[in-house]
This record gives sequence, C-alpha cells and structure tokens, in this order.
Amino acid sequence: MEVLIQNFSFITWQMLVMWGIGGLLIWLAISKKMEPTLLLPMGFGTILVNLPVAIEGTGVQHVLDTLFSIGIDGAELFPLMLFIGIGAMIDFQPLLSNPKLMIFGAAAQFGIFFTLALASLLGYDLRDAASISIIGAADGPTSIFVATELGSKYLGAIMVAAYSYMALVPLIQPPIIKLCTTKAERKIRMQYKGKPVSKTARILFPIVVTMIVGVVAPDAVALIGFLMFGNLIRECGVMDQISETAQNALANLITIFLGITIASQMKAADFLQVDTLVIIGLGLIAFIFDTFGGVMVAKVMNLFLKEKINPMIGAAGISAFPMSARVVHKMGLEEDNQNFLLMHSIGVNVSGQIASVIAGGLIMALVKAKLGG
Amino acid sequence: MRIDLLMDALPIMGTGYLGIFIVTGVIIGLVSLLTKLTSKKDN
Repeated sequence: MEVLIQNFSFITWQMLVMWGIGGLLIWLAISKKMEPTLLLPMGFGTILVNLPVAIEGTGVQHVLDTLFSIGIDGAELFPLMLFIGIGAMIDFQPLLSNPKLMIFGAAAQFGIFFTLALASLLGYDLRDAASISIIGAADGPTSIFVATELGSKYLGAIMVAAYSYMALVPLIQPPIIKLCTTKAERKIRMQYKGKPVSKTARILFPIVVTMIVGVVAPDAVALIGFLMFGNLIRECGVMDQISETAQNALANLITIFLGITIASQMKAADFLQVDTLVIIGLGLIAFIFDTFGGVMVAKVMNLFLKEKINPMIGAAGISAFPMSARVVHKMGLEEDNQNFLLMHSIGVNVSGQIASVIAGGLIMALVKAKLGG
Repeated sequence: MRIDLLMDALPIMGTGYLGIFIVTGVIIGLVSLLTKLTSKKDN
C-alpha cells in the first residue's frame, strides 16, 4: 500500500501539464477529427512517456528507444517509408496537364526561408534555425528528415509543430489569404482546360523528377526518390494491389509508429521549455509566410497575364495535401458558388509536395556547405 | 538579437529560394516536353 501511495509523490506539475497536452491531442483527434491517425498515438504516447517512474528502465522505454533509433534517428526509415504511401496517394495529372502550376509550389516555400532568417536573428545556430524553418515545408516527413540530418536538438518540438500545423491548415490559411487578396481577386474564375495526359507521361514523370532532383539537389534524393517510387507504383498499372497497400496499410502502420515515436520525444523535462514555445511560434510564422509567398507571386504574375489567375490558388502551394487545396476551393465557392478552383488548387498543392522536398534538400545542402560538411 | 547569425543565414535564404525556382523551372521544362512528346506518340 505504501508503495502505491509513494508513486503519487513522484507526480510533478510538469507531468500534469504533459498529460493535459496528451489529452488535448487525443481530443483534437477524436472530436475535431484532426489528423487522427497521427494525433491520437501522439497524444496517448505523450501521456505514456510522462508517467512517474513507470517509463525509466521498463520495456516501454526500450521499445520507444528502438523505434526512435531505427525509425527516425538512425536510418530515417519512417519518413521515407511514409513517403512511399504518400507518393502512391498522389495523382499528378492536374499538374502534368498544366506544369506551369509548379511555380506556385516553389513560391509557397517562402515561409521556410523567411523563418530561417528570423530564427537566426533570434539566436538559433544555423543547424537549428534551418531545422525549425523546415516546419514551413508543411510536410511532416521532410521536417523529421531535415532536422535529423542536421542534428537539431529540437527534434521533438519541430515534429509536434509540423504535424499540428498541418492539421490546422483550415484555420491558419483563410485569414491570411483574405488579408492578402481583394474580394474581386477572390472572385476570379479560372477555366479548367484539363488536357489528357498519356500513360507514358504519367509513368515517366516520377522517374524524370527523381533524376533531375537527384542531380541538382542530391540531399533531397532520398525523400523525392521514395515519394516518386510510390507514385510509380501507382501509375505503372501492373501493381494495383501493392499501390493500394502502400496507400492504406503501409501508410497507416507507419503513421501509427511515427506518432508514438514522436511522443517519445515529448518528455516534460525536454518539452516544457521556452524554446518549445518559440519554435511553435516560428512554425506558425513559417506557415503564414508560405501562404503569403504563394498568393503574392500569383498577384505579381497577374500583372503580366492576359488570362488572370485567382491568386488564392498560390496559397495551395504549401504541401499540406490535400487540406490546402480544399481550403482554397472552399474559399472560392464562398465568394462565388460557381467558382470551382479544385482542379487548379490540387495541381498547385501536389507541386507544393515536390517543391517542399526540394526546399528541404537545398536547405540541407546549403547549411552543410556553410558549416563545412 | 543576433545580427551576425542573420548575416550568415541571409545568403542561404536568397540562394535557397532562388534555387527552388531554378529546379522547378527545369522540371517544368522537361515535363512540358515530356507531355508534348508522349501526346504526339499517343496520337
């Protein structure tokens, strides 16, 4: 009996706060249906790793450490495996029928670079600043990969921020888009001239992109390679069952492991720091300036184009797929119930997926070059 | 405020953002060529 009571004395206020955070993540997953496959295991894992004395020296700690070392820290297995599933989910046809949409994917990576400068100004060294800025890739696997490769000490906070903001895209983007556009601009209709794309093009696309990125930004080749491998499985037409497995079973399994492994980095002593709050704030700034960058480039292009673009589609260039495309489509319909932007915004959104990986590769290459390897 | 760290980061900011547009431009060019060639072949 004494032992049971003694265990209560090990509970600290920091643990209570972490239980609250874990509970909040579980609530968001179940009640608000925000990224439930990820936030639910993260929430449960947060409670699990913040139990008094229960974790240290137990089998749970051993399992979580093993998952972390093989899945994230050592071989970065989880983000790469997850990219096979994501690649198999993405239909690049809207992009292939209008490749120019990729400009917005590139433009909407502005938040990454803005945040890199801001984090540096706030005193984070180049490795940490770059790892924090990549939250703006709006792409969990890329954030994990870059932060791990650069050896950032803020991996836990970066992972939490990256995945939380992806789930919060429908709340973050609309006010920024409205601030950057006029009502008239939001009402611009865009005709969809979806040109048919040949099967040969759909098969060659993932191979060509892997080769280009592999040559130009070799640090991104693991990410883009696995993403495009998944897409090749989807498009080749002879691996339908494997494609379905990659899209569903594989992606779900990895997401479950990823969620609970991320949670293993959310121990109170490491997580409840001022830096965590600053990183979460910087992540939000990265998302805001991604949205700003995409919209503003579309507005600048409109100065020269005869057939105007609805600048809202630029905001879909962040790679949070498909939430961002849906947000833009919904906002278009709110302004004009006959304004269907979905195919354009989906095209921009999938290009954002590619551009965010390229951004991650370039950041890694540039930071390593600056620091001398 | 660390102006010295900002000065280190600014060239990376500029080169990186420009770099994305360059890589994207190469991909756009090749994809356009690819779709054009394959659509002709399909026709």
